[in-house]
Amino acid sequence: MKQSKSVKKKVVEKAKEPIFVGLNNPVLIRRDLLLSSKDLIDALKKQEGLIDLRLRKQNYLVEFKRIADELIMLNKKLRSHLPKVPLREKEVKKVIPVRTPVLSPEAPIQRKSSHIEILEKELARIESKLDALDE
Amino acid sequence: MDKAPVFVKIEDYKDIVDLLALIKDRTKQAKFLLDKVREIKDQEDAEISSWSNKLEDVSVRINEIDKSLFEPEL
Repeated sequence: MKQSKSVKKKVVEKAKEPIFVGLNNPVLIRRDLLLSSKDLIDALKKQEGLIDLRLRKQNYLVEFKRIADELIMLNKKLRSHLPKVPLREKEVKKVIPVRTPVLSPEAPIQRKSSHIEILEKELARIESKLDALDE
Repeated sequence: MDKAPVFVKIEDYKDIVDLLALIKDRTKQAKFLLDKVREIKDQEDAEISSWSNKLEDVSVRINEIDKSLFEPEL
């Protein structure tokens, strides 16, 4: 009885002993790990720079949109100053633009679509005038 | 009718010239801004390409480590 207890104890102790696995080239593994960490940290650092770049791009695009709107307004003003030459009206061919559903939050859709509608109307008006000129 | 001359009122003429100068100026500004956007886009593309290369390097190294750990020295 006493013997079996000591055998059991030995088995438990042996099970607790850690098992080691040899590595073929530990220095290379360590080097690879360090280089990978370095590359990933470098990428994260650059990502911060990319956020800054995108912010700058966003600002440029906002400014561009403002100028484009101003150009549209100036163009209208210019047309209003030019003499109105009567144009022969071409037979009305209404082109109904095909709308594809956009899957994004509702509020921006309404704002964007109304802006797009205004631009589409303006485009259609200009195109009809161009067509009348070509005739 | 198509070839008939069209005249602009003299009081409108100056406004038109001023407007055209303004339009030219704004067009120049818009072009400058688009060039800047293109420049930034190129930088972004270069950055993404560099990330891709780095990720490939990391992937190769991790595979090497994985191989080393699954083929241990006994």
